[in-house]
Amino acid sequence: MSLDSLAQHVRQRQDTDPPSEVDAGSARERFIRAARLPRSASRARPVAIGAAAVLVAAAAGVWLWIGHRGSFAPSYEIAGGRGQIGVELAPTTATPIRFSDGSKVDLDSNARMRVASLDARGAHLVLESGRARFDLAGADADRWTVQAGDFEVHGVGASKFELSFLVPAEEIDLAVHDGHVELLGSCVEKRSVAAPAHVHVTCAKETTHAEPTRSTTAPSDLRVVEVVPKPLVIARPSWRALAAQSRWSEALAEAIAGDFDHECDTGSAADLLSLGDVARLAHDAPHARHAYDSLRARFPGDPSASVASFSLGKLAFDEDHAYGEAGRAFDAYLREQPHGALARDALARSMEAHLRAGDRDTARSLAQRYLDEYPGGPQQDVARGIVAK
Amino acid sequence: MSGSSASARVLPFRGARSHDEDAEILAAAAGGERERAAALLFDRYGEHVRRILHRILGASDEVQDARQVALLRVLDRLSRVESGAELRGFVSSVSAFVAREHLRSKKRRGWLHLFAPEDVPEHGAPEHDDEGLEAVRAVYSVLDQLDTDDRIAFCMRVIDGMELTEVAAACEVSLATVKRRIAHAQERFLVHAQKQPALTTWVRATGDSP
Repeated sequence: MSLDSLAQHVRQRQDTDPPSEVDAGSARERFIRAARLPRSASRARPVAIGAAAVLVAAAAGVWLWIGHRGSFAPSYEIAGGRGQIGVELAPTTATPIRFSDGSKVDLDSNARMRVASLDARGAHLVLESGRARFDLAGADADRWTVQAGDFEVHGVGASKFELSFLVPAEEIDLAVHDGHVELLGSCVEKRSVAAPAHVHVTCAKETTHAEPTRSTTAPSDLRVVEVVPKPLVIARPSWRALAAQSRWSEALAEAIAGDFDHECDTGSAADLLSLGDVARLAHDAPHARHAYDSLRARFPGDPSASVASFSLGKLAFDEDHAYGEAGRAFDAYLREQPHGALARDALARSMEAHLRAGDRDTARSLAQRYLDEYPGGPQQDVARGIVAK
Repeated sequence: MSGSSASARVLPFRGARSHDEDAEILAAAAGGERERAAALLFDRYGEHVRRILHRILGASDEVQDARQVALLRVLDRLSRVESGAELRGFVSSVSAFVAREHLRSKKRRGWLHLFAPEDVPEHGAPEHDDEGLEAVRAVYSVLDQLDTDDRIAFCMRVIDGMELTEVAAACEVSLATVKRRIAHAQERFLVHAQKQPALTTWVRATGDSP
């Protein structure tokens, strides 16, 4: 018995048990009927809204009761109403977000953030992606923490700073305009960053920053480049910043308008993987391939080169339907990272790619391997089918 | 389907679909054919959305309504999808978001239950002893104890078996973040599962990795 077997059991139960007595046909009719209506379904639910208001008020009351037991108990407001803990905030929810201690947070378009906790221990905000501006005020600024991926920015005193988080590459860009903050992360020791400063941090092994002025004394595998003092006037967002906002097509256009080839020739492994992902998600297969191929050629042996191989396989499979090529790419991943995080996916993809390419012997062998290594895996039925043929 | 070729019959994987049908959905929506777009959307993604929501939410009586919400939201936002190739990822992402909303709403309701009679049996609870069903219910009882974002990533990856890259895209986070969420969820799941009699034989000495 294993977790895979348990997952398979759950899948089987759910897929053989229809979700309620409503059959697929009537569910379809119900959906199409609802689609015909003007999109104002919520207006017909005053009771629900009232109940929600009572719920929010009750929750706020309990929250206040709990919060006021400590000396630090800020609340926050969005669009005139009390904000909730854990709810994802997007720029569409009128910003800036105002906290009762006088602090403010302003989100860029497409930025995503949530207030993970707000209690006597402090304020913990999570920047999921994009850029946000923070204005920490008051004597309790040192209880503020902003998390972005594996990085954390801690308030020290009153300060103003901007933080952007590039999700695909796990990079942060921190510009401190006033006061100072502390920065730390999984690959960076705690360090103080005082205004005016602009810090770009990733855990990649090499640096490609355009205008490095001086490096810090951070660990050797850390890229920390400071550009100081430089006012943060960004006329044009970089492809990285656009990618952080999931604006793939714009990010790719910006990368091409810069010098895509140069980026491929000089970028770090993390940059190239990110660039390839941007192009792939923008559905520009040639540029994606260029970036991934550059990564594999320049950083053989790097784990991200193996991920690039997996992505090349997906491109060949999904975009070009070049199954032989896809199979070779997935196989390369499996050779390089036989126990990597994508190994199960690569094995499943590879057996299908080889089957589609007409190489039944290889497909059968891979299917048997899949069954041996992942006996309860989600594609086990497919693998069994291939082996049985 | 006796006429299908052997290779055509083994096309069960989810990533290899043609984008033509997706483009047709977008074209119908862009052309003002909302009802047709809705029908096409349901035919193409109704089961996909059901599967994601079912894996995450568990309780089957909640899935139908959540699917309706998710599909309507997708339908309303089709203009944001630039090409057919993006539609599947968009649908997955909206489904994950709706599941998140649903779970958070449920947690708030759970808080209110502090003042309600205890141990109200769930709708659809089995009336007979069924070990298999008990195991499924125990799985979701354990999942209820996990962080919502961790649970979503775990369910999509471990329960459903979606590719990691697909899970990351649906959750709109990096591969590293989604791996971290899954690992964290799995660790906590196994700890809590050991306390569930219906699960002890399933999770004993498991060495699965995300």
